[in-house]
Amino acid sequence: MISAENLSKTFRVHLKEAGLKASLKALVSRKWTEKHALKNVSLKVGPGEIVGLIGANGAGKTTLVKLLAGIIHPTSGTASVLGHTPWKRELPFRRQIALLMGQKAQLWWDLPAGDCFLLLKEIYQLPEKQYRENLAFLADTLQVKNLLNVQIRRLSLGERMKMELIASLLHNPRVVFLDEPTIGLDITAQRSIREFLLGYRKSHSPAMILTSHYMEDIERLCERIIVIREGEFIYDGPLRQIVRRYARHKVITAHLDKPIGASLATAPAAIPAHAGNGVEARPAGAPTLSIGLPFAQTLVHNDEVLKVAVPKDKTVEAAAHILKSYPVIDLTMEDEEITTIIESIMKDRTL
Amino acid sequence: MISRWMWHSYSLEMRKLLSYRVDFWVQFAGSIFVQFGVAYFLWSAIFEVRGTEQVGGYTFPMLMLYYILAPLVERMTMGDSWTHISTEIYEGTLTRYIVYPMPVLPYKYIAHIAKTSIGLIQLVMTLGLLSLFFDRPAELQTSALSVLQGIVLIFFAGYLYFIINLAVEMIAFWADSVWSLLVMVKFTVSLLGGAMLPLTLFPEGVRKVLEILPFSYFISFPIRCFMGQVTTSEWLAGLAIITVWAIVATLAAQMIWRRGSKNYAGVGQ
Repeated sequence: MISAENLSKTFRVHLKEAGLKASLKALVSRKWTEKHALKNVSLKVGPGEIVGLIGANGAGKTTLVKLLAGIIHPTSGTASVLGHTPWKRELPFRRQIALLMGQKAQLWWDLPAGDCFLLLKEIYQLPEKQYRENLAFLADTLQVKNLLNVQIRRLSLGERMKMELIASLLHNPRVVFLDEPTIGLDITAQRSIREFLLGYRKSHSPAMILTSHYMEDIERLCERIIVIREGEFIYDGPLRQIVRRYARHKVITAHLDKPIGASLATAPAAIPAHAGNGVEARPAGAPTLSIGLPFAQTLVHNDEVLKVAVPKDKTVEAAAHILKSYPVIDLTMEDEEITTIIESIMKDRTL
Repeated sequence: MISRWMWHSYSLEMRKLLSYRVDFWVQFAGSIFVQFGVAYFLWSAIFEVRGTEQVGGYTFPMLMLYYILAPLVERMTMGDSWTHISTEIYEGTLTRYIVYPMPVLPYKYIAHIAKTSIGLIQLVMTLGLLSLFFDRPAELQTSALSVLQGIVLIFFAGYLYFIINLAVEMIAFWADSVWSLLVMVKFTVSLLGGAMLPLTLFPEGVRKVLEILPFSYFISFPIRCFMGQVTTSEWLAGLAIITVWAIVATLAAQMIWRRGSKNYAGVGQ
């Protein structure tokens, strides 16, 4: 459904130095630079697949989505979405896709959502019956039926996003691009949008590409992820496999029989402090228990729990040391959290 | 045949414009009382000082009628003066027209027609109000034919203004902010189109040049037509000039769209 070969996009941006003098100078001569937003990326996405694009700000996620939705033209490379070249913007192509950008409203600000949907019905040439059924289903599921007559600009951010989602899916698109669909929403709204998207995938099997800064969106919705760093794909594969390939540490959690308080020291933050398993993370800069192994990084310690991260090949050695040295009643060993692994991949250029 | 979406877009745009009541009435009152008020006091002083019956071929009542019609005709050809596509390019909201399966230029034209329809409503209201309080000036030669010719002219000139303005606004694909350029265009059209002064007050040479430029057809020419001052052959010549300019401007706008939209980055607020 979606395929792209060696897509690249370079933007020419004008450099604006700070200060009045620089601004006056720029009136006469400007400095330009090239920003390589995407560098030779290729991908294929099939029906019913939700692919999560992950990357830091400016990594190229939105650029890729805009290219595949036909909003911008590439500098080089080819792409085919439902057999069409996206940036040719042919009407049959546009009738079958949807693009939702969490940071940018597409509906008409001054109109009630109901009026916008009626216009979209005509634009997409939807039969009356399909339109009514789809709207009723979408508005019911997203619980916005009583807001259809309110001007878009008077809705809250979450309500507006739900309306944008309805507008995107009214015509049963076969390809859906979602660029940060849950940004700025509260947890309840985020969850309801996630559940809704899963339901939509089940009933319509579209190809979906999703970008989000919320790992929960990715973990809940995507089996496959693409990690982008500075315009390049550095990982494209199953979400779970990223742990096997990139996890460099194991996290050992020891539940303690009684408090331990010896050997306090302030440990450097070699890897980010973890939270989870109902245990509070160590506050930054707080005194940390050193377990006496140079390669171990203590993440959490309190009266009941000791949690350390150790290199994978030292797991057995570290576990044995903890069992021997502390009053342990239970011990578990887990891979690092996906969020941590992805953060490391995005930052560490050696990976 | 008008597509259903076109009719629907028109209807929506009208509802949107009419939902801003304050704007509607301020625009209405502003055009009648403020613009007309200034013209009234200025020209009554000029007529008094000069002690003449006519200035530039206009008697005082006819000149006042001209100033009443000028802002209304201006609104009927020029809408609210801008298509706002430059703002949409700057803010990135143009994306909606690229994602939704609708041709952007016809959609923008429909929005323009909706805005000009507001001008028509205001014109009818104004003429209705005036007929309640004033007699028709004796010199006025308006006929059913001249009104019909005026309406056709406004339709043609409205398209021409729209497409020229759209082409200029689309420079925002390269220049980001084109506000000053738009203000300059608006001022030029107002001055050379006859919104500030009837063009008969301009020197003969300037008038000859203006006849082949598009500006006078936006305001002055339709007003003269409504007043019965344009012969059928002049009307036909005017339509021909508008058509030529409209073809040139449409080709230019299409070319600018094709090239410019490749430059569109969809970034903004």
